[in-house]
Amino acid sequence: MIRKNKSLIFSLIVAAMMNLIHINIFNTDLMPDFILLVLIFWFFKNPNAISISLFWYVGLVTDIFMGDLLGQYALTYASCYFISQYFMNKIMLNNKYQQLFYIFFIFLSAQIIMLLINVMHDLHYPGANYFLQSISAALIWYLFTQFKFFKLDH
Amino acid sequence: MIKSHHRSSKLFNKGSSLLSKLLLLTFISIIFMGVDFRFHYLKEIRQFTNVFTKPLHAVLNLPNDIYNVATQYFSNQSHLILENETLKLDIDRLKADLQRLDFIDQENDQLRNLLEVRNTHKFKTEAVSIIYSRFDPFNQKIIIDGGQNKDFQPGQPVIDALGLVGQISSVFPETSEVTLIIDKKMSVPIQIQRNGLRAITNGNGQNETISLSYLPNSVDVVKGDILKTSGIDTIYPEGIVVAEVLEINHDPKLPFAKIICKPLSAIRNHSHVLVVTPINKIANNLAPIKNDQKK
Repeated sequence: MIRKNKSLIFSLIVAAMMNLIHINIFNTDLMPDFILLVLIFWFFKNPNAISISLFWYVGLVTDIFMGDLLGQYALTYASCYFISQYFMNKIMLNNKYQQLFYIFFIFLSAQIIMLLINVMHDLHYPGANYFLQSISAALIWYLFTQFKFFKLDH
Repeated sequence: MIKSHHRSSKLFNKGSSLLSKLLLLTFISIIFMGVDFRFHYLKEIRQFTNVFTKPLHAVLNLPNDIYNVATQYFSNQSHLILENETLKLDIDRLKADLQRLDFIDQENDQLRNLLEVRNTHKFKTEAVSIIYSRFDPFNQKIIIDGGQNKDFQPGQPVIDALGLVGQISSVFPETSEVTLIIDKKMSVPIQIQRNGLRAITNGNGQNETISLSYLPNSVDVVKGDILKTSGIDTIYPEGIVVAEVLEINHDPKLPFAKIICKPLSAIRNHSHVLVVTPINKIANNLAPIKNDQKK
């Protein structure tokens, strides 16, 4: 159990550092939120060990370090946990190409929540290219599932 | 299959409690956001947390640093000598330019005194390196090395060799946050170089462009005009290049012309920027940008 926690914390720190790397194509940042990607991965790997409050706490820490408004990542991650829980059976039972669709949907909803929060507090829409991040998140998920360690057990 | 069946039954049992948890956490988050929006206490928390994030950036920059050190170490001597010579020539040329500039500056001061015009403010610059840019599509910000330890203040302009980059928006113990001119909350008073027309730019927040707002459809702006800071706000020194006019849309239905400009400074490509500090401490006039002012 402790080993699991260690790998969770380590992967979260690596993800936080990956978030600082930017790849700009089409004038938008294509790098998805790696912290959310890691959280969702651990959730699907071991659903009973990870709770909604963990998602929320991680979101709060993310907010403190790089959020614009305290609580926006916390709210987004907690909602993503709920959506992931909703899709869990579908993801577990489908093959990995069908999984990608659900991962894309989870990230899209995360982006829409983030967009709503930002639009509400300063009326700014970053353009449709913003949603390309969800596609790149699904692609990165696909790349990682090629390795045996990252395969979800059915 | 049995496993997933077990999970689904567990999900069913826990269903209502998960929803209530979500609602509770959403409620707490919304309260946090509301309070933060009103009182901006996240900035104060950041004063402490930024100390911890600096080592992480150092680790991230490590591959780049190692590459730089390695290339420097293995670059051959003749190449270095050549580079040194060109740099020396550059310094000589720049020194000559500087002497001429000093002379012109003095002459300008005298002429201004004769005309009894108030002296323009003098500025010096300090080079700092960019640590990273923020991960946030809603804000165009970069973090630079140096904050309270270098006596930076919110409101100081940041430039590079090609033009204006932005303005320091918050200062932390060892780092500062620079809002770029393409940020949607950022406005710069400018003057068109060709005809001296004064206007204000607004960041678009996307596509790396800025726009000129509140200019009538009949305004005399053509494609390729250079925009420079006008210096009337005493924050930005006069005559720094800001942007070039990219396209002008005269839509008769709209009251104002839509003018889109491209910033000339290499905002995304540089590793170093210059922070502008006023010499004769009119720093008191440098009002720190508050959130209400930026909007």
